[in-house]
Amino acid sequence: MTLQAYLIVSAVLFSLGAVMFVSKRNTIAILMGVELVLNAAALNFVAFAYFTPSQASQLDGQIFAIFIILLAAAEAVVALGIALAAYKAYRHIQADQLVALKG
Amino acid sequence: MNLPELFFYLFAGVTVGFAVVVAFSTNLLHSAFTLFFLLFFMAGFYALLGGDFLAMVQLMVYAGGINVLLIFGTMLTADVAQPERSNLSFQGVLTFFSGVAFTAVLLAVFEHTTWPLLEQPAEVGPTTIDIGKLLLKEYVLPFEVISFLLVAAMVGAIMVVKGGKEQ
Amino acid sequence: MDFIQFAVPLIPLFPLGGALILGLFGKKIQASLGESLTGILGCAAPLFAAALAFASFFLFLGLPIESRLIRVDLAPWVSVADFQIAWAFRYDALSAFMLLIITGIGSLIHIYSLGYMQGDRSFWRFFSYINLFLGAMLLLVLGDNLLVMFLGWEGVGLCSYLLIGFWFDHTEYAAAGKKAFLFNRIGDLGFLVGVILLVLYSSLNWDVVTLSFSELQDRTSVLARFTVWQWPLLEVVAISFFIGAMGKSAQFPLYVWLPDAMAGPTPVSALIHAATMVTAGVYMIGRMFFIYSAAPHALGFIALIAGITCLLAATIGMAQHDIKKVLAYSTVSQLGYMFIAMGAGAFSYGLFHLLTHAAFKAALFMGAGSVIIALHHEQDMRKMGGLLKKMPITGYSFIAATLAIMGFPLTSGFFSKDEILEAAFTEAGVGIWALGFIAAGITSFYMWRLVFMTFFGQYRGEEQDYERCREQPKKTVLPIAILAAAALLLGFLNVPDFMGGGERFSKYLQPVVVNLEDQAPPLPAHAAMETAPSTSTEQPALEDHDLTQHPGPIDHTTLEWSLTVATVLWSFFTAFLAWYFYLKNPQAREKLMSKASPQALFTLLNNKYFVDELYDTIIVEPLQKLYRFLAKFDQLVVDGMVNGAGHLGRISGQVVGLFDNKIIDGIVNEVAWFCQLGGRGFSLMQSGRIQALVGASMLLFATAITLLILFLG
Repeated sequence: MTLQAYLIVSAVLFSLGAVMFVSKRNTIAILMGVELVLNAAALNFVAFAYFTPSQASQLDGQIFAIFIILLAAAEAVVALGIALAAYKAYRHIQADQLVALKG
Repeated sequence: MNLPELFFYLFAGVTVGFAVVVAFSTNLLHSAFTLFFLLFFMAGFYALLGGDFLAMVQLMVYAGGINVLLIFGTMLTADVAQPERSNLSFQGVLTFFSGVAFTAVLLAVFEHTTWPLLEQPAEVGPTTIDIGKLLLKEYVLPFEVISFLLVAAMVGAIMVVKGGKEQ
Repeated sequence: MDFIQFAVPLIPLFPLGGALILGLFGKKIQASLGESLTGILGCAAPLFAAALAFASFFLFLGLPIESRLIRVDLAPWVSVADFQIAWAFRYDALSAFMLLIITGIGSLIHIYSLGYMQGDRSFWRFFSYINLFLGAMLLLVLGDNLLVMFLGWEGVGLCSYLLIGFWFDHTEYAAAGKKAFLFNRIGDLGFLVGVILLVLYSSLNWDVVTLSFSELQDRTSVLARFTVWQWPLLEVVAISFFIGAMGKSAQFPLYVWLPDAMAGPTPVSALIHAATMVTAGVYMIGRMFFIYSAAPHALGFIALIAGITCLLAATIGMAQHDIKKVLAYSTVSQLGYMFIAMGAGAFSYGLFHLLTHAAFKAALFMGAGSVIIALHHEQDMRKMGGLLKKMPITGYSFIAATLAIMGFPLTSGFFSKDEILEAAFTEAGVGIWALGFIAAGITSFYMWRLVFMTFFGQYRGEEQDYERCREQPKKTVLPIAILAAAALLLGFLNVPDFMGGGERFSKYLQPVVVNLEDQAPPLPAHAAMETAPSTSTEQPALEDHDLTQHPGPIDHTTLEWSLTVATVLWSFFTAFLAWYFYLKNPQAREKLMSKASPQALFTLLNNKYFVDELYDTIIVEPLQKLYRFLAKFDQLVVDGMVNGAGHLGRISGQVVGLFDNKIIDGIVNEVAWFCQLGGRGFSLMQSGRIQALVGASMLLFATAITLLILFLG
C-alpha cells in the first residue's frame, strides 16, 4: 500500500469531521466531528512514521498518536461535562442557540 | 492483490462509508453507534501500519472509553426518540460544498508533493517494549504533562457538572 | 528455613487483611455483632503476626550466621526492560528484630486500645486504620528493595494522617493531621530524590537495576566514584535519604508536626508517634549503613542536626503543661539521640536505643493515656497530682519507665543512652556529645517534673473528679506493666564492652549492620579504585586517618567510665532539682518564676521557640500575600486593560461623534452609513456561533491553498 492511499482516507475523514463540526446543531454531534478530525490526524502521523524515514525513532509517529488519543480522552471528558452542565441549565444543547457569549 | 492490501481496501471502504453515515445521519444515536464501529476499524489501519500496541490503545481507550462516554452523553441529553431537525439549511449546503472543495484541495496537495519515502517500509515487529522505553525516556516530559492534563480534565469535568460549591 | 519462608509473607498479610475486612465490613460487624467482637477481630491479626514473628525469630537464632539472610521472592512488580523491581521480602537480623518490636508492641497496644477506645462511635474504623498501619510498617521493614520500602514508608504516612485526624469533626485535629501529612511530604521528596539518583546512576553503569539492598551494598564501592555537580554521589544520596528521615522521624527543622500529632487517640501516639513509625528513619539509615559509611560529611550533618534536635526538643519539653505534649517533645529528643548514634557511625547503638525507646516510650504514653481516661480527658498536668494512690499499677509502671528514660543505672535507657554518648564523644566530636549530655539531664528533669506533677503531691483539680478516679481495667494496665518491665530489663541485651557485657546485640546485628569503628579499613574502596587514577600519597594518608579515628578500645576504658559517671550524676542532679521545685518546695519555684528573666525563658520555651509562628511568617504568610497579590494583579491590571480598551473605544467614539457633527450633512450621512455597514459586518462575527467561523476559515484556507498551488506551484 502506498502512503497516498492512507493520506486520501485520512483526508476524507478529516473533511467529513470538519463538515460535521460546522453543520451540526447538537453539541455532542459536534464533538463527534472533532473525534473524526483527531482520528484522521492520528492516522496521518502513523502512516508517515511507517512510510518515511525518521531521525529519532520509527515509532515517533505512534507516540504522537498515543498522545492524540489521550488528548482526545481529556477533551471528551471536559466537553461532555460542559454539555451536561449546559443541558442542566438550558434543557437543550443546540450549539446555534447557546449564544450567551454573543458580543 | 495480497492480503494486507485487501484488508486496507476493506478498512478504507468501511471507515469512509461509516464516516459518511456519522456525518449525515439525522439520528444522533445512530451516529454515535456508527462512530463506535468506525473507531474499531481505525484500529485495523494501525495494525496494518505496524502499530500493534497503538491498535490496542485505540480499541481500549477510543472505542471502549471515549465512545462510550459519547453514547452516554447522547442518551443523557438528546431526545433520542425524536430525530434532530434537518441539518440541510443554507449553512449546511454551503459547508458541504466547502468540505468537498477542501477535500479536493488536500488531495491535490498530496498528489503534488514528493514525499521522502523509505525504500522498504519499516519492519513490523512487536512495538510495546520500544514504546514503553520511549515514553519513559525521550517523551517522559510530555508523558507527565499529559497525565497532569488528564487529572485536571477529570477534576474540571466533575467541577463543571457538580456546579461548584454552594454558598 | 522453610517455615520462615512460609511465615514471612504472612506476617504483613494478616494486619493488611484485617484492615481490609474491618474497613469494608467493620461498620456492619460492629452494628450487628457488637463492639467486643469487632475488637477481637481487630486484635487477632496483630496477635497472629506476632506469633509468627516470634516463632520465626527463634528458628532464625538457631541458624548458622552465614545463612542468616532469607529472601522471599513473591512476584515481579515493575519489569520494564532493565528496571526489574520485585515484590520481595528480606528477613535478616535487622528486619527480624524490627518485626519483634512492631508486632510485639503493636499487639500490646491493640489490646490496650480495646479499653481505651471503648464506646467510640468509630471503634471499627480505628482498628481498621491501626491494622493497616501495622501492615504498612511491616512492609517497610521487610521490603527487600527500596521501592517496597517506599511503599511501606508512604503507607505509614497515610495511616499517621488518618489516625491523627481520627476525630476529624474537631477542626484542629483535622488540621494537625494535614500538618503531619505536609511535613512528611517534604521529607518524602528527599527520599524520592535519593531513589531516583540511585536508579539514574546505577543504570549508567549496570545492565539491570533491581534496587535491592544486597545489590546496592555490592555496588556501593563503584557508586562512590560518581559525582553529582562535583559532590560525591553517595553524600548527596545519603543526605537526600536523611531528609526523608527528617520528615518521618521529626528531626529539626521538620519536627513541628509530631507534637501536634498528639491530637490522635493515645494508643496511636504510643504506637505510631513514639514506638514504631517515627523510628522508620533510624531503621532506614541502619538498613543502608553501607551508603552512610561511605559518606562521612553526610554523617557529620546528621550528627549536627540530631544534636540540635535533641537539645531543642528537650528544652521545650521542660515548659509544657499538656502531659502528652511533654512526652511528644521527649520523643523528638530521644529520636535525636538515635540519630546522633547514626551520625557517629554507631549504627547498632542507634538501633538499640530504638528498641529500648520503643519499650519505655510506649509504656509512658500508655500510662499517660490511662491517666487521661481516668480523669475524663483532662490532659493539663496543672490539674493533676497525687494519682499514685488511686492508680497504683499505672503509676508504678510509669515510674519504672521514667527510670529507664532518665538512664537510671542498669535500666535499659542507661545502657543505650550511655553507648550513644560514648560513641558521640569519640566519633562525632565533643560538641555533639555536649549537646547530648546536656539534653540527658534535661530529659531527667522534665520526666520527673511530669511524674511529680501527676502522681505525687496534692490533687489540683475538682474534688469529685479525684473521688471518681479509678485504676483502669486489666486489659488496659496489663500491657503498660509488661512494657514497663521490658523497659527495665531490655538493657542487658547490649551491655557495653567496658562493663564486661560483650555487646551481644551489636554482635547479633553484625552480619547486616556494621558499625563504623568495626568496619575493616576501607579495603573494598581501594580495590574498586584500581581502575580509577589514584595517587601514591593517598593511601598512607588514609591509613593514618584511620589510626587516629579508631584507637583501640582498651585505652578508652577510663574515659568511658568517667563519661558514664558524669551522665548519671548530672541526671540525678536534675532529677533532684525537679523534686525540689515541683514537690518539696513549690514556693521556691514560684519565687524564681516571678523574676523577669526566668519568666521570659519559660514563655519562650512554653511557646516552643515560636517556631510555628516563624513558619507562619516566613512561609505561610508570604504565600498568602502572593495569592492576594495575584488576585489584585488580575483585578487591577488584567481587568484594567480590558476596561481601558473599552474606555479608549468610547473616547474614540466620542471623538468620531464630535467630528461627525461638525461635517456637512451629505458626507455625514455617507460616513454614518459606511460605519453602520462595517459595524454590522463585524457584529456578525461576534454572534457567539463558533461554527460559522470555522466554516468560513475552512473555506478561506481551501481558497488560499488553491491560489498558492495555482500561482506558485
